[in-house]
Amino acid sequence: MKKSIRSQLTVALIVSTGILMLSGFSALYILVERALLKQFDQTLLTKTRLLTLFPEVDRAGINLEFTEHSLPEFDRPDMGEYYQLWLRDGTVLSKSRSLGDASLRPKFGTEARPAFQNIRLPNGRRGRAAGVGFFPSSELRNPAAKEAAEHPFAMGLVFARERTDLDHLLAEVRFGILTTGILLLTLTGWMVSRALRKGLAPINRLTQEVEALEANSLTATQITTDHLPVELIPIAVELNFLIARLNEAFQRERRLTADIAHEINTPLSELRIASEVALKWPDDLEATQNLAQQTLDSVTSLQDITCKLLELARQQNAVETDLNPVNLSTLWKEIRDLYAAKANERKIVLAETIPAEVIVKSHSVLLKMVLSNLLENAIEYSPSEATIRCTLSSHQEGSWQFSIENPNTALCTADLEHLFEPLWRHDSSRTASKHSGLGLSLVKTIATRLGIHVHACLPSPETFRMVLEYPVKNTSGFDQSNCYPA
Amino acid sequence: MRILIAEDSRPLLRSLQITLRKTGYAVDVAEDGESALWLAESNPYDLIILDLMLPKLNGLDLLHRLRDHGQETPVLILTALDAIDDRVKGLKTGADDYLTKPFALEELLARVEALLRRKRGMRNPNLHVGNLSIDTSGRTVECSGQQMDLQPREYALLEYLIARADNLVTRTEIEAHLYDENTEVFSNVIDSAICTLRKKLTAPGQTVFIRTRKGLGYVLEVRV
Repeated sequence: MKKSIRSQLTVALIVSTGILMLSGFSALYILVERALLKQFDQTLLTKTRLLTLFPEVDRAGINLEFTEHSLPEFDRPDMGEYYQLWLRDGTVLSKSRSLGDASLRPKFGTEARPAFQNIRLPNGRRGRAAGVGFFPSSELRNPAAKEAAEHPFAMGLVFARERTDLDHLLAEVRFGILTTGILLLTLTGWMVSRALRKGLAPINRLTQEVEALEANSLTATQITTDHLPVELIPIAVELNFLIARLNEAFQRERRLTADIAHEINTPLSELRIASEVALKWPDDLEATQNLAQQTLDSVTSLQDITCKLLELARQQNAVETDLNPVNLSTLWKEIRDLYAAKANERKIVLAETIPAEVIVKSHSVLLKMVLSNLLENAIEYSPSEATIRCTLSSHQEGSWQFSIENPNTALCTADLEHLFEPLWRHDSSRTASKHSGLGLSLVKTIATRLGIHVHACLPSPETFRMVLEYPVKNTSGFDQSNCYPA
Repeated sequence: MRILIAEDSRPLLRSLQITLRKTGYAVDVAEDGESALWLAESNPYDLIILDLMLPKLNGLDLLHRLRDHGQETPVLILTALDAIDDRVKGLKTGADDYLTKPFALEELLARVEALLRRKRGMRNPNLHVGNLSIDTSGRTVECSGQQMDLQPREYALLEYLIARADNLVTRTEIEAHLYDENTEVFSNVIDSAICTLRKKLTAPGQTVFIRTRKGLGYVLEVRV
């Protein structure tokens, strides 16, 4: 299943925001936890330091200056505070009554850097302890100092306190952060969805406009760019170009279909009506004979159109053509001889500038079709006693150019771009000519297959020229002004 | 009835001309738009059969000009252009009917008949005048239940006179509607056609008569 941009962006933005929130809130929680723990530890340390002030060494030995009565918080386990005092050798010197039989874990740091630890208290609750090694205050300052130089501490004190309040506070902070996170994430999801819907609305509108396009309404359709954001304008502009091109193609197809319909329907009508008339009045022999001749003419015309349409379709769908060396001069002579009678009949003169031998890389049969068509057209459309000029020139690296020029009687510059369209005829009614209007389309299609460029030119209003050029790029530098395609 | 066919396909034009003439219509033909326009503006046609893709002046422009000049002659477009757009355009320009090629001859004749009937304000193809019953679609006439043997032109003349029953029909009108350009109408041709028709209308109990109004023309009268 294909994902939509909107759902993908929604998921991506919510996930990204979620990750960012998770990271941010985690960092915030860690900072808060550290700050609270630091504060807790500071209190713990203050009390620990206070406790270290009580033991005193005198000549009688170690004297603990405090009693359980002076510090009642160490009396019972439910008071939540504990201490234990060790000598350096591990002997327990004293511990709080609240510890009962239990014992704290001896872990000491220095007075400057006490050792903190999380512990499980004898009452089963979580607690935190600070341990310091220290030298009790002494009247024997010097010996103690001397001893201090040899040992890091003389006594060790661990003071522990319940951390239930701290844990509760941290739990509340966690809950607050989690609730805020979930709320923010939900809000983000809603806002992202809303923002995307609004942001992607132009795409939806564009989609609707594109969906509304139909082959029949392309002429009048243009996607409006006024309401579009700048990012979508290039897409709309390109779509408009595409629509214009499609419209042109559809128009061309419609024109071609209409032309084919006309070309085929007219002779079909002639055939049908002639047959019906002959059947309706069979006794009218003169009319029947005329109708038989008409029928033959119509069938010939229909056959010509059908053959050319089929040939055009075949050439348009043909696979790659093998090109072989062809003597273009000889080929042209064959074609010229073929049409000599037709030219002589109308006293048309062929003025040729054809070298004795021009070997080109092409396909002799297809090239013959192209040249025959051009010569036939030139003879057909030239007035009687006209001169048709044919020129062949070859250049370096196998390039060549052939042109055939005849007097122009009907075409204008605007006609040039239509000349190669299938079934196009200068006479829009198609009455005057026996031609189907497919010859030049066929020439163009075959020439393209052979890698030859065909131009139709009007170098002057009185002269029409067809130029074949191989290869496609203009190698000979002939004047392409007033030519189609230029 | 006089019909103009404007069609550039000569074989089709010839077939249509034969068909319509043999059916009893007077037919003029034009192979291009300009000639068709000239003919249409010079003669009182009862119907114009018009191809659209005509040389010199295309069918639609021709039709446009005719309607602009106030010509009300029914026009049947006969064309190979069969797209809906073309049909709509043709009908909107002022054509009365549209027939696409290829077509059946009988369909064309039926449409021609229907358009001519519509021109005369008739819906029913069967006419009853006195003791005459006329089937305009089959182009047959019965007199008191007996089929009359009429040549196409005689039928056309009778149908024309019946359409104008009790009204004066001049020789010029008969000439203009029943004879095409190719027929040379001598001075007595119409008189002789009327005479022939009269002879065929002299059955016992006949109630339809053609009266001559000297120097003016003819009136078809029904006497009870």
